[in-house]
Amino acid sequence: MSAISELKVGTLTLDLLSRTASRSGRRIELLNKEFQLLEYFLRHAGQVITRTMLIEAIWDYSFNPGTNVIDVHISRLRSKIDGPAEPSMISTVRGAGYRLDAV
Amino acid sequence: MRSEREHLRSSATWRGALWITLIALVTTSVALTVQYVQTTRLIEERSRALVNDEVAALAARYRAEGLGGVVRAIQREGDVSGINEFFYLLATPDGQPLVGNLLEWPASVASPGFHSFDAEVAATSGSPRERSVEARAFLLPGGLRLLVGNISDENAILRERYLAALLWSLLATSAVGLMLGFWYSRRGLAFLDAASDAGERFLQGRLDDRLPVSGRGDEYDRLAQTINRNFEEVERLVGSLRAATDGLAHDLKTPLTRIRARLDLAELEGAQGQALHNVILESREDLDSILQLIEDVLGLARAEATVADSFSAVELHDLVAEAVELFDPVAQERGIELSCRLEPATLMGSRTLLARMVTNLIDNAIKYSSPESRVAVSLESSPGVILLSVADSGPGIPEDMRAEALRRFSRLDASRTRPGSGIGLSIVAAVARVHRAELTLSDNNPGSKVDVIFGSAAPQKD
Repeated sequence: MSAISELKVGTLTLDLLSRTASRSGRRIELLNKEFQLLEYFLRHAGQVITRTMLIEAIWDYSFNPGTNVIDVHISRLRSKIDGPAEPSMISTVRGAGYRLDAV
Repeated sequence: MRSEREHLRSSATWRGALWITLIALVTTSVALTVQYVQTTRLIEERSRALVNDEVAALAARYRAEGLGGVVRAIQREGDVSGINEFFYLLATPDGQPLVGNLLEWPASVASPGFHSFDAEVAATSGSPRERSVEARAFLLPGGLRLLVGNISDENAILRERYLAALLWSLLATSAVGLMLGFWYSRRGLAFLDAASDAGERFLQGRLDDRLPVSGRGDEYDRLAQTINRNFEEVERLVGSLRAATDGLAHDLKTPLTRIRARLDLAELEGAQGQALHNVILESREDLDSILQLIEDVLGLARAEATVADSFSAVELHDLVAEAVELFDPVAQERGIELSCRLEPATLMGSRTLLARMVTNLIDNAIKYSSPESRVAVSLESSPGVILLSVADSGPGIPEDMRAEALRRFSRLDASRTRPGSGIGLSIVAAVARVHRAELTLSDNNPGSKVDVIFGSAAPQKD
């Protein structure tokens, strides 16, 4: 990977060394897989990411493990990074996947 | 065709029997002949040695005591009833008998040395008899002829006995050889017959036909078992292919029919704007489910085609822990408690296939569990055996439907209303088979429990 130690899209910041995340200064507690998921989104900000891409990159599975597994993970991640009054950063691209944008 | 096979079979049986008999006959003849030759040679050597001794003794007496000594010796021997059945004849140089128990000088004896002939011999009692003799002619100094011989009747008797024994032995060997050979050949050929008949019926579509196994545990049984295993595998593959084709057709037809109906309706109504957009979105979802189905079918085909050569060491506990972590949010969303208890376990296998199996089992358990219930995943490891269990408290699987549940595309609810292609347990079964693991479905009271037992047959890590 690259030598950078911090990923930043809009108000969302990911510290790759301390493996912590924050949005607008608010600290976000993430589980290991959630951190990897968010890191992947930040590295591909603005691009459409398919479920297959996530399954392969984060879980290293070459098959779809279950009907809506990824959707559930994304919705959890969303609820963690989006504060009550904040707009959602990860949007669903219907029929394709997801996209993270600096809102 | 039947009678021709019958004919072929009996001719093959007789051919086998005749070969066995022929071998027995040759062996018997050789053994008896060698014995006969050895015995006759021994008897002849002993007889000639005795004759030589006698001739040497008479020659020595002639040198010491002259003609009179020899004549006396011969007369003395002739008077004693012989133990060694010797006979003597002393004759003039022109063959006129002087003394001895042979009545005349035999015409066939013209030169010194050993001769065999039949001659009239004067017996100690009674009239002369025709005997077969083995004699040595010897020329004494002064031209007198001496013939010393031994009655060799026993050689002739021996030959007669030998021939009789040979004849009877060969007859007995032939009879027994043919009988045993026929029985032995028929046993082998009866098996071949049964095998070809079973194969023939199998080809004609009776896939449940099997070869009889005698239980003797011999080579025929081993062959029968191997052939039967092949039959079973073919039957299983044909069965699953049939089920797969039926199920696949059904599962493809449903979303395709929906897409078709939707498009027809959109055309009829001249759908535009949002309505048209909805048609596109809904059709895309149906197409996705079709693609997923095809991917599952391919996954199953891949699982079944995997060979043990490509296996590597897999840390099963890590793999299961990851899968549980992956499904935990899904379970929580449905209000299901997903618990796991894992012991470290490593086995040789395909990581992808095992991950597919574990995720399929957990996915199924969650999918078919009612909300507010529990799904328990456990991994137990003891030497040689690894037990993976996934238990749910859902509706369970009726006992008579468990085998069916492992078959492709059976989703247990005939209405087929729930999502998924229902191919999951079939993939699990295929992965288990590839890893030589045993797969069982049992009651969890309530719910059902799937056990995957990787036995000692499964290669363990060194």
